[in-house]
Amino acid sequence: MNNCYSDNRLILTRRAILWLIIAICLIFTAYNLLVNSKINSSVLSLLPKEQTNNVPTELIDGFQNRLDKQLVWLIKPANNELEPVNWWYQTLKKQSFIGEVNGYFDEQFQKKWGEFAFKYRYQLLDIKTSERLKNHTQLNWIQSQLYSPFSGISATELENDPLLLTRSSQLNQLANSGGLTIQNNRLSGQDNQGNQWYMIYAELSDSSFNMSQSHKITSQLSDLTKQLHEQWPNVEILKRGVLFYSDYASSEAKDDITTIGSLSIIGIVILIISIFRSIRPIILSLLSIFIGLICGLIAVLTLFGEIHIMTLVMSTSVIGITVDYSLHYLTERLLHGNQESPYASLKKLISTLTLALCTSFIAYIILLIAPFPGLKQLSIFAVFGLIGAFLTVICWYPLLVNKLPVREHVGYKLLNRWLNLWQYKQMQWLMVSIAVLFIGYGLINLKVDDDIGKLQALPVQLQQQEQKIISITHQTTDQKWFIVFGDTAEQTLQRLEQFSLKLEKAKLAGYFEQYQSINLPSIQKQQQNIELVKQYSPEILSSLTQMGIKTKLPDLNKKQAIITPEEWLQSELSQGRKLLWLTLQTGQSATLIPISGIKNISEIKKLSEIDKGIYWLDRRDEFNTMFTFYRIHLSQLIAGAVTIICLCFIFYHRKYGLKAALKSTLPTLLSIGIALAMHGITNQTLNLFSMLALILVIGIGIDYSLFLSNDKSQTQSALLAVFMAALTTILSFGLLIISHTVAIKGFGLVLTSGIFTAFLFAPLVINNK
Amino acid sequence: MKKYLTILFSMLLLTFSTISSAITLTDLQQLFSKNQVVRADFVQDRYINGLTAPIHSTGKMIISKELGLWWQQKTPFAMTLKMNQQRMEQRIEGQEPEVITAEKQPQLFQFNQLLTAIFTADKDMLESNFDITVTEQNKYWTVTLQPKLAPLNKIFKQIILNGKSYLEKVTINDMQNDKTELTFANHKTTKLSQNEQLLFR
Repeated sequence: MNNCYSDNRLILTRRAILWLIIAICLIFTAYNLLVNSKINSSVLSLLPKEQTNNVPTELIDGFQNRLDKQLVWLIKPANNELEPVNWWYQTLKKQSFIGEVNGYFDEQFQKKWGEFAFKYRYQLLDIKTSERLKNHTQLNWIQSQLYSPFSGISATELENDPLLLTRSSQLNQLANSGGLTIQNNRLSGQDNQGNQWYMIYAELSDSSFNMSQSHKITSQLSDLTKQLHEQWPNVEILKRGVLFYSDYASSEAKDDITTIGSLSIIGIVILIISIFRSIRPIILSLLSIFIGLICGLIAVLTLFGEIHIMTLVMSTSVIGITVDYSLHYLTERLLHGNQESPYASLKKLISTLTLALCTSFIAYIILLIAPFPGLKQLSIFAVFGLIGAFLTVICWYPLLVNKLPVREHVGYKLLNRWLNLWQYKQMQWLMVSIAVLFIGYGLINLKVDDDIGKLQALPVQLQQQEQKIISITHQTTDQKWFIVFGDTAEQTLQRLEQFSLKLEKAKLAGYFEQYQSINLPSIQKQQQNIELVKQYSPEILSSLTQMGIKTKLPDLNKKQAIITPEEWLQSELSQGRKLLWLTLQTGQSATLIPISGIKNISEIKKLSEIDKGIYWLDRRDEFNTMFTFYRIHLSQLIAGAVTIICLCFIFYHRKYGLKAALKSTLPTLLSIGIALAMHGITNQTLNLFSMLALILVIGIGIDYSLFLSNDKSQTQSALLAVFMAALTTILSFGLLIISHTVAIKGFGLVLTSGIFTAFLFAPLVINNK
Repeated sequence: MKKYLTILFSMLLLTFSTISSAITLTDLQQLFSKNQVVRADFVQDRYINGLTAPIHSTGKMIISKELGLWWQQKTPFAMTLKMNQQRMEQRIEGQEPEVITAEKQPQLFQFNQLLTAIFTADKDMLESNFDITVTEQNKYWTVTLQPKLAPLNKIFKQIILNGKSYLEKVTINDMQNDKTELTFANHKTTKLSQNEQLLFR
């Protein structure tokens, strides 16, 4: 490769022009892509797509999509007056971004509900009622209703439905209704103090809102809340919805990008100005950063079709690495610009630069292994960003650095003193011992925890509201449920019916407290129910006649209508349960069964029968298992990589003796040690993210040792370049610490400490020369 | 739908036995809490349109301020009901009991709360749910409760309570023009025996 960079100016010029043309094309492409691109800000899309189960992805995505669209409010009016509740309901209905509003069940609705339940009373027979029919106890139950003075049974009801099937089925269903009741025609619940809260829930008209749209929606909603409070100052309102969380996350992320991005650019500019005392290197550095960012952006947008907001935040850290190549070259020119031609400088650095590119490249490529879409995007972004910056340096810099002022002795004293310090054996021992003590202390306190959920710093206020909503409605949001699925709606429903029996048993055994499932029987079940009524009704009717109640059952022999899933969805009966049912265009269907009051998780898990379309879905649990798997996987990978790296160092330095060879591995080993110890010291738990940060610590930190042990360049220029490169990298990774996202913060802390250590101990390598 | 929920009303109203002569609701409220325990026998007749004869049943009941209500129908078949602030259990002989709790089935249980309010003559709660008239004649008082909110007003036209030292009669007029009459007799207010306490378990 080196001979390409002989003093052949023509080749270099051609190369520069070629890269210029490519760069211009890239800029246009990037512009076009950006205009049509979408910035993804959904926190959920950061989660791994990979699945450990065999439930069709479309079904899970379908449910997830729907859940993302749900918004819930609870309103506590003062003195139980209903105007504010009505106002909120009506105002929501007028919003264009709201698809459907619920929570108000007027008399019309209740009447229709009753009519539907009555019309299909035979088909809708519930388990309990059919059990009563089968063991001949339905008559006793009818009697108990008749003898209850407050049952409100009328002659009309007895005449139309002498077996009281409508009443029986609906009562049994109500027994599973959860924490909510209907008061004043509205869905409502009570808190622990006995205050009445009214629930209004809505669905967004679209789930694929981008960041600015969802921000507009949330601010519109908070305006409405303000209006509500202005009109009724004593009204309390609670809200819940994925929208609120993701808007919060993306506005935090936006802040992060602006702060971290601009601070790291400013820092780099200040650093360059103070060292180079010239505008040109700044422009050159910004140029390579810019081209690098363009390349990264194009790669991500082309490969993923979108860029995640978190990728953007993390990508700001790439700035600090892309600038490294510029710095190495510019420093070489700064110190030796008078003695050698720009081409000679390049020639001197090219192999080390390529090696450094390769190590960072490999480190970022390894990130692709992790199943996180966000990290994959970051990895692609960094890889292409680094290549872009690297190419800019080698293609353009030799032609553009001509008038760069030379300052041969910049930082000479300081760096020399620094180098001299490292010459002393005592100093080396002291530093290494301190580091080892530090590592020892940190490692003792190191804890492993794969629960990524703990890394989410959810806004306290939203979380408090959510907790309160859970305590009132008894509806948790932990998304633990069974999914029952099948190739057709009928298959799914039949599987559900089979499974319900097992669930009932599990509930009786005390494994959990409640479950909720849809109230739609399969066609098969509906027909069986009709047969059941046909078979058992004559004996009940004759007993009723004996009691002096004259009744007669409508002719069951004529063909009875069957409720289809579509009819059920359109009927009032499915109100509040629609969300649990999903049919894809292929006919594939699924239903969710939320389980609450879990007491014995291992027994519940055992109920899964994936080949029968039943699966216990606990995403958080699945993620944790996955994270553990990858953490172990990556730590093995890191151990392997570190061994190879150390062997290479030892091999490379073998001519200076075993002791020196071993010493050359210290910067890498210590940087890993300190990065790990940082976890224990700052009370962070070791998880998958730590592993990812470690990979970067190794990949980037190793550069410093590489540059310092480059025989071709002089130690002083290498040290200055390494000093600046480390400073810019630490600056941009260090700035991640100010991020609002805990995971990114931790990531930044581990990286900064590791890379700082790698830089600090890098002189251990030079001494060998 | 909600009209069916009123099943629960049945037993609850009976918790009225501690009423003594009083004219205002506030007076009643105070007198309601006078006795720790009240026992009584009851006779119930339900007149449902279209039925040839009224539905007749008898039994006894105990109300304890501490333990709640125990109600047992003896004829024509045995049926027991226990109820307190959190839980209701109904058992027909030879069958699994039906249990409803305030926490898990609030929709079914909300009548319980309302009726407990009647039992304790919780003035605020009653006044927000019923229009109330209290009259007295020869120390014999009558309380007329007229439901003003859904779902109660869909089911009951009027609930009338009569009594002197205790609640003696409850008349429930349904919207469907059906009628239920409950008559209480043999009131006793001695302390609960150990056996009786076990009944509430």
